[in-house]
Amino acid sequence: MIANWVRIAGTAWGCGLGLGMLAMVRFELQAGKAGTPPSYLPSVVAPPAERAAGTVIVFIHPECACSQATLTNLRDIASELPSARFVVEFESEGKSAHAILSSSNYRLAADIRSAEIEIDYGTKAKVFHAQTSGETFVYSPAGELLYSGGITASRGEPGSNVGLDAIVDCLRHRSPKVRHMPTFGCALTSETSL
Amino acid sequence: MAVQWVAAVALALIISSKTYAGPTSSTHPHVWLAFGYGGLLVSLPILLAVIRPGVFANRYVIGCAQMLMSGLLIHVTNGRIETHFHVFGSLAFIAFYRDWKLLIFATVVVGADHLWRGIYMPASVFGVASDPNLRWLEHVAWVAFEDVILLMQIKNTTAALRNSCIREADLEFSNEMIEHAVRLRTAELTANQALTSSVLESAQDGVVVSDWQGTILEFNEAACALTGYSREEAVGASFIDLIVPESLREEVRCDLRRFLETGDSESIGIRRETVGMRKDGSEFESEVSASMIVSSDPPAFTSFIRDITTRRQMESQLAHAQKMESIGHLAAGIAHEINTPNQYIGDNARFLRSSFASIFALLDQYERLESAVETDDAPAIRLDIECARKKADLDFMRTEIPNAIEESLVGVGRVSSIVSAMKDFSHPGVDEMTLSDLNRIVESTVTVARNEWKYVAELKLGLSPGLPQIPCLPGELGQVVLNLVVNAAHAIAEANGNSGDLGQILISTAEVEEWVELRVSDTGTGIPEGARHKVFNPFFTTKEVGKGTGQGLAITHAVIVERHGGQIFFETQAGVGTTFVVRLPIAPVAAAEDAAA
Repeated sequence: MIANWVRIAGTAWGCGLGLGMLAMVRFELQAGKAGTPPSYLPSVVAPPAERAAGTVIVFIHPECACSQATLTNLRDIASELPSARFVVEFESEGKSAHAILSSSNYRLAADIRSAEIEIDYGTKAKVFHAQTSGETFVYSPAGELLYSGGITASRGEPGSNVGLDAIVDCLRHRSPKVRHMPTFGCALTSETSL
Repeated sequence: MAVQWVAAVALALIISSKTYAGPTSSTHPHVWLAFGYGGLLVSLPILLAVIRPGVFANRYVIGCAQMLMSGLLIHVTNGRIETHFHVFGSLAFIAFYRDWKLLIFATVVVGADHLWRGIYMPASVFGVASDPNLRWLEHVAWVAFEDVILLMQIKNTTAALRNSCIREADLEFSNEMIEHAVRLRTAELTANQALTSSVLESAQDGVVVSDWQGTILEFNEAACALTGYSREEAVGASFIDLIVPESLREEVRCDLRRFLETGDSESIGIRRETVGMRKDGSEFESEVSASMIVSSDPPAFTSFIRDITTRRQMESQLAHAQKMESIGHLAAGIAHEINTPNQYIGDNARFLRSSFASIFALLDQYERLESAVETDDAPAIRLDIECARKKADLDFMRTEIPNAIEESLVGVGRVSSIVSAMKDFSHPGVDEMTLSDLNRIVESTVTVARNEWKYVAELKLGLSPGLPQIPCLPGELGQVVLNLVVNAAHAIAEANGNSGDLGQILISTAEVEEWVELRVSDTGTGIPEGARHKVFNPFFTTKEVGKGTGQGLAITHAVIVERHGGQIFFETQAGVGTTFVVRLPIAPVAAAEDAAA
């Protein structure tokens, strides 16, 4: 009798684990919303210097944990390509400047060499149609959109990935394998919640 | 498992506790994942460990959950490379089972986990969408690398454990064999010890084991009965102080010392007769055989003690009997030697009697002549004769010489009767029943035993004339009568003490139905109440030491009852006297049995 009970429990357990894994997959593969970014660098962002390899603009929610991976990757790119321009826009909806400046994401951004850190009050996010924390836009020195999307493999997953490779390719004036990758992160604003 | 679950939840709370949508936040799905999925993951292993501990299949559930926990932790830590070490650590933990199949199973689980992640979430596991197969292989290769080491360790450990188990099994088997042998040997020793103890306890002689200092180590039951000491009193006490009389202790100690120093001894290794002492201080004749126990170091001694008091008594009686027998033989010879001169003394006395009668008759004639003769010298001669008559006291001589001769003849007659009685009494007994006259036996015995009773009693015979002869052993019956007469005399002597009064011994015979009855009555002390049931017991006596051995009535009883088929009993009254009654069958015992049949 006990053996039967164990078999039933084991079966239920296995099924539960399977369901759990499915849920895991679903969440992990659930990318944030993404809009259509402008094809050319909008004027809300200052043009780059003449010798800049390109402009990389990243929108970050100050408290999105997953975006730490994005900032980490960004730091790595900045180290590799110091000639590129990096702009990190912290969305401040409902957050004080002090809170933003105290966040771990801000500290990570501050570590990025020559990064321009700005606090966006929603204006630029609307211009770029950025909706998800970690969403990254790469523009050529001429202001053309080369890439948009995330630069992490999955939520909070730093390290090499397709998006990252695409950005590097863009900044090196090579043709990237992809032009868009999903972004995994928190919604930047309440209007763009998942 | 539970700790890992808690850790997963903690990590989720630390790393990504909330998810945001602008200013609003909510619990991050990772937290729910860690809590729910993690809880589910550890639930079955914990449940099985509690309700079915030790079941073999549990390890596979645990292995599966452990590897999936690695995936969960990697997930909630957002794929931190450091978290991947949990996989390697989990495999190492699983290796503790020393089950290579389980290790392979766990490896398959983690490989499958990576595979489906690689299929459905390649970027989540490998970080890139490109070359998933190679990345999968790279991950699997690292796992395989660890597996190889762990498998080798499992193999070595298992072999070592097997060898250890084999050695332990061999050791246990050897121990069991040894214990079995010990048990057998112990049983043998116990049985031997029990046998030895039984032998010691059943021995009729006292067995005392003592050490070189004389301290008693063993003291058997016979020794207890012999000395009056209990085993508890004896063991641990000094053998010399306990059993050896004080007068002999120094001698025994010196002998023991000499033996220990030189090996020489006057008592150890030989059997000798000595004196022992009881608890109450009384001494007893003993025969002791002491020997050294060769196998003992330091030396120990075994002493076998036998009470030989009874034997000594019997030896004394035997010697006495032999002496009496010798005297009996001598008596026969002496009687014969006495009889001859006694014969011619009697003859001469009779001759003198008849001769003196003749001489006195002649003297009468001379006296007649004296009175008739008338001569001149007659008055002078008559006067001389008268003087000579007075000087010789002829009248006195006429009276006394015949009396003296008669008394001499009476003495000679008595000597003859004594000699005859002695000859009869000392005659070797015959083993066959012969028809004998009981009266004659009584008379002979009374004559022989005269010295025993004449100083203390007057003995009267009331023997029935015409008493029929009876089949008997005359010698033994004579001994019976002697015992009864002597006992009677002793009883009277005890009653009268030194007063000088004479008691009465009356011996009578009579024919009573099919019996010839002999009665020996005395006016002695009578038999005490407490002794009446023991008078016929061997060695029982109420006489003082030296006056009797307690054998007389026992022998009398045996002779009358067993040898003659008769009866013996007594009537007694304390302070008045005792009458022993012996009844002997007139008809032979065999004839009586035939008649009864």
